[in-house]
Amino acid sequence: MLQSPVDANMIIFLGSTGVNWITEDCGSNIRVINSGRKIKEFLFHPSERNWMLASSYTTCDDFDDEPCKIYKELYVSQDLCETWQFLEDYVIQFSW
Amino acid sequence: MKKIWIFVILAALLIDSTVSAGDSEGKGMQTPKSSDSVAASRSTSNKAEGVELNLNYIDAPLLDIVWCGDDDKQREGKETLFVLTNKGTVYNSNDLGKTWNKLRETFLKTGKKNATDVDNVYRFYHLTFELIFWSFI
Repeated sequence: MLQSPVDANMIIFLGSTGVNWITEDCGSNIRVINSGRKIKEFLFHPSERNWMLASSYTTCDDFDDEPCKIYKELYVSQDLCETWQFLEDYVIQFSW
Repeated sequence: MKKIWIFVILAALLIDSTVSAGDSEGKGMQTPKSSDSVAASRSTSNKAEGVELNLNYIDAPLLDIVWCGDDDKQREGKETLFVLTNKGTVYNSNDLGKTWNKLRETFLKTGKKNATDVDNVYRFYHLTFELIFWSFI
């Protein structure tokens, strides 16, 4: 469970099977986060409410014709998890 | 004589009600309630000391607590808190922890809906691709 530093009513629930949830009103409404990947780590922006960073590990399904490589990728969303943009691969740690 | 008997009966009722009130406030231990959300809960209150204690049982050791809402709302008594257990179960309470809801059903329902939506989108594209492919052949 991660609480937004900007909006105290917003909490993100990271699931263990790749499905994650968000509430913007302390649980009255809970919806699934659209990520498309299994989120490993999650970080709210300290001042922008709708911005967030998320990391995800690659899986062997990502590589069709080349050897499987497992590494961490970093994604950013600026619209409250509606869309995600790829930022960087082979990431070890990250912060805003 | 009648007046004396009425007085005695009234006095007996008054004493009985006083003892009952004393029992509920002094001992205050209610039988554990079971519900769908929480395995069992019991509460005890000691109004003389102004302390109210609620005992709630969760399915695994406590991992995390998050208090939701801003400070202004909390002062109005609208506070909500979430509890995460070691088993990955999330409970929430909207009344300072007196009653608890297990959010498993909510998570499952929204998660399943999302999975179904993804499946439908995949099937739609798959079907469209097949139709285009076969129309060219």
